[in-house]
Amino acid sequence: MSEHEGAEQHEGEGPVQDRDLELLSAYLDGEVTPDEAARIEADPRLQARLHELAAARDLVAQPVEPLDEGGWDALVAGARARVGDAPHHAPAAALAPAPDVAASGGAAVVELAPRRRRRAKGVALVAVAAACLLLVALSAAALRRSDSSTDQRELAGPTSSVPTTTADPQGGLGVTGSGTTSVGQAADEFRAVYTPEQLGAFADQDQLLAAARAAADRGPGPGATLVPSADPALAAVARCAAAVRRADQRLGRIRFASNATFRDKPVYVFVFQDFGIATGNEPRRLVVVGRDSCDVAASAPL
Amino acid sequence: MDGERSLVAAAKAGDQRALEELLRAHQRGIYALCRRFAANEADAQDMAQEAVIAIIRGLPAFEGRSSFKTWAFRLTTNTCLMELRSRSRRPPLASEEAQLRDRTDGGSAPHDVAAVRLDTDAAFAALSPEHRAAVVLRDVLGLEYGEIAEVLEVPIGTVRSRIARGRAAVADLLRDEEPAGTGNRSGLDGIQGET
Repeated sequence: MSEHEGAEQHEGEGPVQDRDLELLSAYLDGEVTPDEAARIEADPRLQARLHELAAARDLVAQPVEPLDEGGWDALVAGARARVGDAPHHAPAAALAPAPDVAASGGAAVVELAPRRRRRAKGVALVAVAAACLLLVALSAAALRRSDSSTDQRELAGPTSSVPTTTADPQGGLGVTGSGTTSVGQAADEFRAVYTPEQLGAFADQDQLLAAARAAADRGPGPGATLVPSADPALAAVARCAAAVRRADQRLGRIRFASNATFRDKPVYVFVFQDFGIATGNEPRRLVVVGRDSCDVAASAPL
Repeated sequence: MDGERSLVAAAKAGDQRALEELLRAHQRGIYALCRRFAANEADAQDMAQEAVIAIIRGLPAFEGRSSFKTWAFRLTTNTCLMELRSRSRRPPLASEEAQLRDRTDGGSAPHDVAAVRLDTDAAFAALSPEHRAAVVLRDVLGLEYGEIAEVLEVPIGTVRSRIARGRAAVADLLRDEEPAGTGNRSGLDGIQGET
Protein backbone atom coordinates (compact mmCIF):
# COMPACT_ATOMS: atom_id res chain seq x y z
CA MET A 1 0.00 0.00 0.00
CA SER A 2 2.98 2.24 0.24
CA GLU A 3 3.65 2.43 -3.45
CA HIS A 4 2.79 5.53 -5.38
CA GLU A 5 -0.36 4.50 -7.12
CA GLY A 6 0.03 7.06 -9.87
CA ALA A 7 2.83 4.99 -11.31
CA GLU A 8 0.33 2.26 -12.11
CA GLN A 9 -1.85 4.35 -14.29
CA HIS A 10 -2.22 4.26 -18.02
CA GLU A 11 -0.85 7.44 -19.33
CA GLY A 12 -2.10 8.65 -22.64
CA GLU A 13 -5.48 6.88 -22.53
CA GLY A 14 -7.51 9.99 -21.88
CA PRO A 15 -7.38 13.59 -22.89
CA VAL A 16 -5.95 14.49 -19.49
CA GLN A 17 -2.89 12.54 -18.43
CA ASP A 18 -2.83 10.99 -15.00
CA ARG A 19 0.09 13.21 -14.06
CA ASP A 20 -2.00 16.21 -15.01
CA LEU A 21 -4.98 14.85 -13.10
CA GLU A 22 -2.93 14.82 -9.93
CA LEU A 23 -1.59 18.25 -10.75
CA LEU A 24 -5.10 19.64 -11.21
CA SER A 25 -6.27 18.10 -7.98
CA ALA A 26 -3.25 19.48 -6.16
CA TYR A 27 -3.97 22.88 -7.70
CA LEU A 28 -7.37 22.84 -6.00
CA ASP A 29 -5.58 22.28 -2.71
CA GLY A 30 -2.99 24.96 -3.31
CA GLU A 31 -0.24 22.35 -3.50
CA VAL A 32 1.43 23.37 -6.78
CA THR A 33 4.32 25.61 -7.66
CA PRO A 34 3.76 28.97 -9.40
CA ASP A 35 5.04 27.49 -12.67
CA GLU A 36 2.61 24.60 -12.46
CA ALA A 37 -0.24 26.96 -11.65
CA ALA A 38 0.63 29.13 -14.65
CA ARG A 39 0.65 26.10 -16.92
CA ILE A 40 -2.79 25.04 -15.75
CA GLU A 41 -4.24 28.50 -16.09
CA ALA A 42 -2.94 28.80 -19.67
CA ASP A 43 -4.31 25.48 -20.93
CA PRO A 44 -8.04 25.41 -21.83
CA ARG A 45 -8.09 21.61 -21.79
CA LEU A 46 -6.74 21.53 -18.26
CA GLN A 47 -9.06 24.34 -17.24
CA ALA A 48 -12.09 22.33 -18.38
CA ARG A 49 -11.03 19.31 -16.36
CA LEU A 50 -10.18 21.53 -13.44
CA HIS A 51 -13.75 22.84 -13.33
CA GLU A 52 -15.07 19.28 -13.29
CA LEU A 53 -12.77 18.33 -10.44
CA ALA A 54 -13.77 21.45 -8.54
CA ALA A 55 -17.44 20.53 -8.90
CA ALA A 56 -16.66 17.04 -7.62
CA ARG A 57 -14.71 18.48 -4.72
CA ASP A 58 -17.60 20.77 -3.83
CA LEU A 59 -20.03 17.86 -3.89
CA VAL A 60 -18.03 15.56 -1.62
CA ALA A 61 -17.19 18.44 0.70
CA GLN A 62 -20.84 18.85 1.66
CA PRO A 63 -20.83 19.12 5.45
CA VAL A 64 -21.93 16.15 7.49
CA GLU A 65 -24.78 16.80 9.84
CA PRO A 66 -23.28 16.14 13.27
CA LEU A 67 -24.75 13.91 15.92
CA ASP A 68 -26.49 15.78 18.69
CA GLU A 69 -24.92 15.65 22.14
CA GLY A 70 -27.38 13.10 23.45
CA GLY A 71 -26.74 10.79 20.52
CA TRP A 72 -22.99 11.03 20.98
CA ASP A 73 -23.23 10.45 24.73
CA ALA A 74 -25.35 7.35 24.19
CA LEU A 75 -22.92 6.11 21.56
CA VAL A 76 -19.92 6.53 23.85
CA ALA A 77 -21.78 5.03 26.82
CA GLY A 78 -22.64 2.00 24.72
CA ALA A 79 -19.05 1.69 23.56
CA ARG A 80 -17.72 1.85 27.09
CA ALA A 81 -20.23 -0.72 28.20
CA ARG A 82 -19.14 -3.06 25.46
CA VAL A 83 -15.50 -2.87 26.46
CA GLY A 84 -16.40 -3.39 30.09
CA ASP A 85 -15.55 0.14 30.99
CA ALA A 86 -18.99 1.43 31.85
CA PRO A 87 -19.41 3.87 34.69
CA HIS A 88 -21.68 2.67 37.44
CA HIS A 89 -24.28 5.23 36.60
CA ALA A 90 -26.16 5.70 33.37
CA PRO A 91 -24.52 8.82 31.94
CA ALA A 92 -26.89 9.63 29.15
CA ALA A 93 -30.36 10.96 29.57
CA ALA A 94 -31.35 8.31 27.08
CA LEU A 95 -30.65 5.64 29.66
CA ALA A 96 -32.73 6.96 32.50
CA PRO A 97 -36.38 6.09 32.91
CA ALA A 98 -38.64 9.07 33.35
CA PRO A 99 -39.20 9.82 37.04
CA ASP A 100 -42.95 9.77 36.70
CA VAL A 101 -42.74 6.29 35.27
CA ALA A 102 -40.48 5.07 38.02
CA ALA A 103 -42.88 6.36 40.59
CA SER A 104 -45.95 5.07 38.87
CA GLY A 105 -46.35 1.96 40.95
CA GLY A 106 -47.11 0.03 37.82
CA ALA A 107 -44.95 -2.63 36.25
CA ALA A 108 -41.33 -2.33 37.20
CA VAL A 109 -39.25 -0.04 35.06
CA VAL A 110 -35.98 -1.77 34.35
CA GLU A 111 -32.86 0.32 34.18
CA LEU A 112 -31.28 0.07 30.75
CA ALA A 113 -27.68 0.89 31.57
CA PRO A 114 -25.38 -1.83 30.31
CA ARG A 115 -23.65 -3.78 33.00
CA ARG A 116 -20.44 -5.60 32.28
CA ARG A 117 -18.39 -5.92 35.41
CA ARG A 118 -14.75 -6.57 35.65
CA ARG A 119 -14.08 -9.79 37.44
CA ALA A 120 -11.43 -10.46 39.99
CA LYS A 121 -8.32 -11.76 38.30
CA GLY A 122 -8.11 -14.76 40.58
CA VAL A 123 -11.34 -16.23 39.36
CA ALA A 124 -11.36 -14.81 35.87
CA LEU A 125 -10.13 -17.85 34.00
CA VAL A 126 -12.48 -20.24 35.76
CA ALA A 127 -15.41 -17.89 35.35
CA VAL A 128 -14.73 -17.28 31.67
CA ALA A 129 -14.41 -20.97 30.93
CA ALA A 130 -17.64 -21.74 32.73
CA ALA A 131 -19.41 -18.88 31.02
CA CYS A 132 -18.24 -20.02 27.60
CA LEU A 133 -19.61 -23.50 28.19
CA LEU A 134 -22.89 -22.11 29.40
CA LEU A 135 -23.16 -19.68 26.51
CA VAL A 136 -22.54 -22.39 23.96
CA ALA A 137 -25.29 -24.50 25.46
CA LEU A 138 -27.74 -21.61 25.74
CA SER A 139 -26.96 -20.35 22.26
CA ALA A 140 -27.59 -23.73 20.72
CA ALA A 141 -30.91 -23.99 22.53
CA ALA A 142 -31.88 -20.46 21.61
CA LEU A 143 -31.04 -20.97 17.96
CA ARG A 144 -33.18 -24.08 17.83
CA ARG A 145 -36.09 -22.20 19.36
CA SER A 146 -35.56 -19.22 17.10
CA ASP A 147 -35.51 -21.37 13.99
CA SER A 148 -38.77 -22.95 14.92
CA SER A 149 -40.60 -19.85 15.92
CA THR A 150 -39.37 -17.19 13.57
CA ASP A 151 -42.23 -15.91 11.55
CA GLN A 152 -42.44 -13.32 8.84
CA ARG A 153 -42.71 -10.54 11.35
CA GLU A 154 -39.27 -11.28 12.66
CA LEU A 155 -36.36 -9.70 10.98
CA ALA A 156 -32.77 -10.56 10.44
CA GLY A 157 -31.02 -9.49 13.61
CA PRO A 158 -27.56 -9.19 15.00
CA THR A 159 -27.25 -12.92 15.29
CA SER A 160 -27.87 -13.43 11.59
CA SER A 161 -24.73 -13.38 9.52
CA VAL A 162 -26.54 -12.99 6.21
CA PRO A 163 -30.04 -11.56 6.06
CA THR A 164 -32.24 -13.85 4.07
CA THR A 165 -35.22 -11.58 3.70
CA THR A 166 -34.88 -8.54 1.54
CA ALA A 167 -38.33 -7.08 1.79
CA ASP A 168 -41.03 -7.22 4.34
CA PRO A 169 -43.18 -10.08 3.10
CA GLN A 170 -46.29 -8.65 4.68
CA GLY A 171 -45.89 -5.24 3.21
CA GLY A 172 -45.03 -3.64 6.52
CA LEU A 173 -42.59 -0.83 6.87
CA GLY A 174 -39.16 -2.34 7.09
CA VAL A 175 -36.91 -0.13 9.10
CA THR A 176 -33.36 -0.77 8.10
CA GLY A 177 -30.48 0.06 10.32
CA SER A 178 -27.59 -1.57 12.03
CA GLY A 179 -27.20 -3.24 15.35
CA THR A 180 -24.09 -3.60 17.42
CA THR A 181 -25.57 -5.24 20.42
CA SER A 182 -23.76 -8.54 20.17
CA VAL A 183 -20.53 -8.30 22.07
CA GLY A 184 -17.55 -8.19 19.75
CA GLN A 185 -19.67 -8.52 16.66
CA ALA A 186 -19.55 -6.12 13.74
CA ALA A 187 -22.71 -4.26 12.96
CA ASP A 188 -25.18 -6.42 11.13
CA GLU A 189 -28.28 -5.36 9.37
CA PHE A 190 -31.51 -5.62 11.23
CA ARG A 191 -34.92 -4.82 10.05
CA ALA A 192 -38.03 -4.18 12.04
CA VAL A 193 -41.67 -4.10 11.30
CA TYR A 194 -43.05 -0.70 11.91
CA THR A 195 -46.77 -0.21 12.26
CA PRO A 196 -47.52 3.40 11.55
CA GLU A 197 -50.89 3.68 13.28
CA GLN A 198 -51.20 4.84 16.86
CA LEU A 199 -51.48 2.22 19.56
CA GLY A 200 -53.40 4.77 21.55
CA ALA A 201 -52.94 7.23 24.37
CA PHE A 202 -51.92 5.83 27.72
CA ALA A 203 -51.36 7.22 31.16
CA ASP A 204 -50.83 3.85 32.78
CA GLN A 205 -47.83 1.70 31.96
CA ASP A 206 -49.72 -1.57 32.44
CA GLN A 207 -52.22 -0.54 29.82
CA LEU A 208 -49.42 0.38 27.44
CA LEU A 209 -47.75 -2.98 28.09
CA ALA A 210 -50.97 -4.82 27.33
CA ALA A 211 -51.57 -2.86 24.14
CA ALA A 212 -47.99 -3.35 22.94
CA ARG A 213 -48.15 -7.07 23.68
CA ALA A 214 -51.39 -7.43 21.77
CA ALA A 215 -50.13 -5.41 18.82
CA ALA A 216 -46.81 -7.26 18.67
CA ASP A 217 -48.66 -10.57 18.74
CA ARG A 218 -51.11 -9.40 16.11
CA GLY A 219 -48.42 -8.39 13.63
CA PRO A 220 -47.99 -5.41 11.37
CA GLY A 221 -50.63 -3.74 9.33
CA PRO A 222 -50.28 -2.72 5.70
CA GLY A 223 -47.53 -0.32 4.81
CA ALA A 224 -44.67 0.25 2.45
CA THR A 225 -41.02 -0.61 2.45
CA LEU A 226 -38.98 2.01 4.17
CA VAL A 227 -35.63 3.14 2.86
CA PRO A 228 -33.87 4.95 5.68
CA SER A 229 -33.08 8.34 4.30
CA ALA A 230 -36.01 8.50 1.94
CA ASP A 231 -38.50 9.50 4.59
CA PRO A 232 -37.22 11.57 7.49
CA ALA A 233 -40.09 10.55 9.75
CA LEU A 234 -39.48 6.86 9.26
CA ALA A 235 -35.73 7.26 9.38
CA ALA A 236 -36.27 8.81 12.80
CA VAL A 237 -37.83 5.55 13.96
CA ALA A 238 -34.79 3.61 12.86
CA ARG A 239 -32.48 6.14 14.45
CA CYS A 240 -34.21 5.84 17.82
CA ALA A 241 -34.28 2.05 17.64
CA ALA A 242 -30.58 1.95 16.85
CA ALA A 243 -29.80 4.36 19.68
CA VAL A 244 -31.70 2.24 22.16
CA ARG A 245 -29.93 -0.91 21.08
CA ARG A 246 -26.54 0.74 21.18
CA ALA A 247 -27.16 1.81 24.75
CA ASP A 248 -28.22 -1.58 26.03
CA GLN A 249 -26.37 -4.67 25.00
CA ARG A 250 -29.08 -6.89 26.39
CA LEU A 251 -31.40 -5.97 23.57
CA GLY A 252 -31.47 -8.30 20.64
CA ARG A 253 -33.42 -8.28 17.43
CA ILE A 254 -36.21 -5.80 17.16
CA ARG A 255 -39.59 -7.41 16.85
CA PHE A 256 -42.03 -4.59 16.61
CA ALA A 257 -42.20 -0.83 16.45
CA SER A 258 -45.15 1.51 16.58
CA ASN A 259 -46.41 4.85 17.84
CA ALA A 260 -48.33 5.84 20.93
CA THR A 261 -48.92 8.68 23.29
CA PHE A 262 -47.66 8.04 26.79
CA ARG A 263 -48.50 10.55 29.48
CA ASP A 264 -49.30 13.16 26.88
CA LYS A 265 -46.00 12.72 25.05
CA PRO A 266 -45.60 11.19 21.60
CA VAL A 267 -43.49 8.05 21.85
CA TYR A 268 -42.21 5.16 19.82
CA VAL A 269 -43.01 1.74 21.21
CA PHE A 270 -40.38 -0.89 20.51
CA VAL A 271 -40.37 -4.56 21.34
CA PHE A 272 -36.94 -6.17 21.36
CA GLN A 273 -35.84 -9.68 21.99
CA ASP A 274 -34.04 -9.53 25.31
CA PHE A 275 -30.77 -11.43 25.42
CA GLY A 276 -30.06 -10.33 28.95
CA ILE A 277 -32.77 -12.39 30.51
CA ALA A 278 -32.86 -15.16 27.95
CA THR A 279 -33.97 -18.23 29.83
CA GLY A 280 -35.62 -20.31 27.21
CA ASN A 281 -38.94 -18.63 26.60
CA GLU A 282 -37.88 -15.95 24.13
CA PRO A 283 -38.41 -13.07 26.48
CA ARG A 284 -39.24 -9.73 24.98
CA ARG A 285 -38.69 -6.29 26.30
CA LEU A 286 -40.85 -3.26 25.77
CA VAL A 287 -38.99 0.00 25.41
CA VAL A 288 -40.83 3.28 25.13
CA VAL A 289 -38.85 6.28 23.90
CA GLY A 290 -39.72 9.90 23.31
CA ARG A 291 -40.13 10.60 19.63
CA ASP A 292 -38.27 13.86 19.76
CA SER A 293 -35.29 12.84 21.85
CA CYS A 294 -35.11 9.03 21.71
CA ASP A 295 -34.89 9.23 25.50
CA VAL A 296 -36.15 6.09 27.23
CA ALA A 297 -39.41 6.80 29.05
CA ALA A 298 -40.14 3.26 30.13
CA SER A 299 -38.73 -0.21 29.82
CA ALA A 300 -40.06 -3.47 31.09
CA PRO A 301 -40.21 -7.16 30.28
CA LEU A 302 -43.13 -7.99 28.07
CA MET B 1 -1.58 20.46 22.32
CA ASP B 2 -0.15 20.33 25.83
CA GLY B 3 -3.70 20.28 27.10
CA GLU B 4 -4.40 17.33 24.88
CA ARG B 5 -1.30 15.52 26.12
CA SER B 6 -2.50 16.01 29.67
CA LEU B 7 -5.91 14.70 28.76
CA VAL B 8 -4.40 11.67 27.06
CA ALA B 9 -2.24 10.95 30.09
CA ALA B 10 -5.21 11.30 32.39
CA ALA B 11 -7.39 9.11 30.17
CA LYS B 12 -4.70 6.44 30.07
CA ALA B 13 -4.60 6.59 33.86
CA GLY B 14 -8.30 5.83 33.96
CA ASP B 15 -9.82 9.30 34.16
CA GLN B 16 -13.19 8.81 32.50
CA ARG B 17 -13.90 12.51 32.21
CA ALA B 18 -10.63 13.02 30.37
CA LEU B 19 -11.53 10.21 28.00
CA GLU B 20 -14.96 11.70 27.37
CA GLU B 21 -13.44 15.12 26.76
CA LEU B 22 -10.93 13.71 24.29
CA LEU B 23 -13.62 11.85 22.41
CA ARG B 24 -15.91 14.85 22.41
CA ALA B 25 -13.15 17.06 21.02
CA HIS B 26 -12.89 14.80 17.98
CA GLN B 27 -16.51 13.73 17.84
CA ARG B 28 -17.24 15.69 14.68
CA GLY B 29 -14.34 14.21 12.77
CA ILE B 30 -14.95 10.66 13.92
CA TYR B 31 -18.61 10.79 13.03
CA ALA B 32 -18.05 12.61 9.73
CA LEU B 33 -15.55 9.96 8.66
CA CYS B 34 -18.01 7.21 9.50
CA ARG B 35 -20.93 8.99 7.88
CA ARG B 36 -19.09 9.24 4.59
CA PHE B 37 -18.15 5.57 4.74
CA ALA B 38 -21.68 4.47 5.65
CA ALA B 39 -24.78 4.31 3.54
CA ASN B 40 -27.00 5.94 6.14
CA GLU B 41 -26.98 7.57 9.56
CA ALA B 42 -27.77 4.41 11.50
CA ASP B 43 -24.84 2.58 9.93
CA ALA B 44 -22.64 5.61 10.57
CA GLN B 45 -23.51 5.56 14.25
CA ASP B 46 -22.69 1.89 14.44
CA MET B 47 -19.36 2.44 12.73
CA ALA B 48 -18.63 5.37 15.04
CA GLN B 49 -19.33 3.21 18.06
CA GLU B 50 -16.97 0.55 16.77
CA ALA B 51 -14.36 3.26 16.24
CA VAL B 52 -14.81 4.57 19.78
CA ILE B 53 -14.41 1.03 21.09
CA ALA B 54 -11.17 0.71 19.12
CA ILE B 55 -9.95 4.00 20.59
CA ILE B 56 -10.82 3.01 24.14
CA ARG B 57 -9.17 -0.37 23.75
CA GLY B 58 -6.13 1.06 22.03
CA LEU B 59 -5.55 3.98 24.36
CA PRO B 60 -3.25 2.13 26.80
CA ALA B 61 -0.91 1.38 23.89
CA PHE B 62 -0.99 4.91 22.45
CA GLU B 63 2.53 6.26 22.80
CA GLY B 64 1.94 9.78 21.59
CA ARG B 65 4.22 9.57 18.56
CA SER B 66 1.47 11.22 16.54
CA SER B 67 -1.21 13.57 17.73
CA PHE B 68 -4.25 12.05 19.35
CA LYS B 69 -6.34 13.34 16.46
CA THR B 70 -4.19 11.59 13.88
CA TRP B 71 -4.21 8.39 15.87
CA ALA B 72 -7.96 8.51 16.49
CA PHE B 73 -8.69 9.20 12.84
CA ARG B 74 -6.42 6.32 11.84
CA LEU B 75 -8.32 3.91 14.08
CA THR B 76 -11.61 5.30 12.83
CA THR B 77 -10.60 4.95 9.20
CA ASN B 78 -9.37 1.41 9.72
CA THR B 79 -12.56 0.51 11.55
CA CYS B 80 -14.69 1.88 8.74
CA LEU B 81 -12.60 0.13 6.09
CA MET B 82 -12.97 -3.17 7.92
CA GLU B 83 -16.68 -2.58 8.21
CA LEU B 84 -17.00 -1.83 4.51
CA ARG B 85 -15.07 -4.94 3.58
CA SER B 86 -17.19 -6.99 5.92
CA ARG B 87 -20.36 -5.70 4.33
CA SER B 88 -19.07 -6.20 0.82
CA ARG B 89 -18.84 -9.92 1.48
CA ARG B 90 -22.56 -10.31 1.91
CA PRO B 91 -25.27 -9.67 -0.69
CA PRO B 92 -27.00 -6.29 -0.47
CA LEU B 93 -30.47 -6.04 0.92
CA ALA B 94 -33.20 -5.11 -1.53
CA SER B 95 -33.73 -1.95 0.46
CA GLU B 96 -30.10 -0.99 -0.12
CA GLU B 97 -30.40 -1.60 -3.83
CA ALA B 98 -33.57 0.46 -3.94
CA GLN B 99 -31.81 3.18 -1.99
CA LEU B 100 -28.98 3.28 -4.49
CA ARG B 101 -31.44 3.34 -7.39
CA ASP B 102 -33.26 6.22 -5.79
CA ARG B 103 -30.02 8.09 -5.52
CA THR B 104 -28.72 7.49 -8.98
CA ASP B 105 -32.01 7.75 -10.83
CA GLY B 106 -32.44 11.33 -9.77
CA GLY B 107 -35.99 12.57 -9.69
CA SER B 108 -35.38 15.40 -7.28
CA ALA B 109 -34.89 19.02 -7.99
CA PRO B 110 -31.18 19.60 -8.57
CA HIS B 111 -30.91 22.27 -5.93
CA ASP B 112 -32.91 20.42 -3.33
CA VAL B 113 -30.87 19.99 -0.16
CA ALA B 114 -31.97 16.39 0.34
CA ALA B 115 -31.12 15.60 -3.25
CA VAL B 116 -27.66 17.00 -2.79
CA ARG B 117 -27.19 14.88 0.31
CA LEU B 118 -28.28 11.75 -1.50
CA ASP B 119 -26.00 12.56 -4.37
CA THR B 120 -23.14 12.93 -1.95
CA ASP B 121 -23.79 9.46 -0.60
CA ALA B 122 -24.00 8.07 -4.12
CA ALA B 123 -20.78 9.82 -5.07
CA PHE B 124 -18.90 8.31 -2.15
CA ALA B 125 -20.42 4.92 -2.83
CA ALA B 126 -18.77 5.02 -6.25
CA LEU B 127 -15.30 5.27 -4.74
CA SER B 128 -13.11 2.47 -3.54
CA PRO B 129 -12.67 2.49 0.24
CA GLU B 130 -9.06 3.68 -0.04
CA HIS B 131 -9.93 6.58 -2.33
CA ARG B 132 -12.93 7.40 -0.18
CA ALA B 133 -10.77 7.65 2.92
CA ALA B 134 -8.34 10.04 1.28
CA VAL B 135 -11.09 12.23 -0.14
CA VAL B 136 -13.01 12.40 3.13
CA LEU B 137 -9.93 13.29 5.13
CA ARG B 138 -9.09 16.06 2.68
CA ASP B 139 -12.42 17.45 1.53
CA VAL B 140 -14.65 16.80 4.52
CA LEU B 141 -12.20 17.15 7.40
CA GLY B 142 -9.76 19.52 5.71
CA LEU B 143 -6.58 17.66 6.66
CA GLU B 144 -3.32 18.56 4.93
CA TYR B 145 -1.68 16.00 2.65
CA GLY B 146 0.98 15.28 5.26
CA GLU B 147 -1.60 14.63 7.95
CA ILE B 148 -3.54 12.34 5.65
CA ALA B 149 -0.37 10.42 4.87
CA GLU B 150 0.15 9.98 8.58
CA VAL B 151 -3.42 8.84 9.17
CA LEU B 152 -3.43 6.39 6.28
CA GLU B 153 0.20 5.41 6.77
CA VAL B 154 1.06 5.86 3.10
CA PRO B 155 3.45 8.22 1.29
CA ILE B 156 2.28 11.71 0.41
CA GLY B 157 2.47 10.82 -3.29
CA THR B 158 -0.08 8.09 -2.72
CA VAL B 159 -2.32 10.53 -0.88
CA ARG B 160 -2.09 12.97 -3.77
CA SER B 161 -2.89 10.21 -6.24
CA ARG B 162 -5.84 8.86 -4.28
CA ILE B 163 -7.40 12.26 -3.80
CA ALA B 164 -7.02 13.06 -7.49
CA ARG B 165 -8.51 9.80 -8.65
CA GLY B 166 -11.31 9.95 -6.14
CA ARG B 167 -12.30 13.40 -7.27
CA ALA B 168 -11.99 12.35 -10.91
CA ALA B 169 -14.34 9.44 -10.35
CA VAL B 170 -16.91 11.72 -8.77
CA ALA B 171 -16.47 14.24 -11.58
CA ASP B 172 -17.18 11.52 -14.12
CA LEU B 173 -20.21 10.43 -12.13
CA LEU B 174 -21.51 13.99 -12.20
CA ARG B 175 -20.90 14.29 -15.93
CA ASP B 176 -22.73 11.03 -16.57
CA GLU B 177 -25.78 12.46 -14.82
CA GLU B 178 -25.90 15.44 -17.14
CA PRO B 179 -28.37 14.86 -19.99
CA ALA B 180 -26.06 16.25 -22.62
CA GLY B 181 -22.85 15.02 -21.06
CA THR B 182 -20.32 14.02 -23.66
CA GLY B 183 -17.10 14.17 -21.72
CA ASN B 184 -14.44 11.54 -21.48
CA ARG B 185 -14.13 9.08 -18.60
CA SER B 186 -10.42 9.05 -18.14
CA GLY B 187 -10.58 9.55 -14.40
CA LEU B 188 -13.07 6.76 -13.81
CA ASP B 189 -11.12 4.44 -16.05
CA GLY B 190 -8.13 5.16 -13.90
CA ILE B 191 -10.06 4.25 -10.77
CA GLN B 192 -11.31 1.00 -12.18
CA GLY B 193 -7.81 0.03 -13.22
CA GLU B 194 -6.57 0.20 -9.68
CA THR B 195 -6.67 -2.54 -7.19
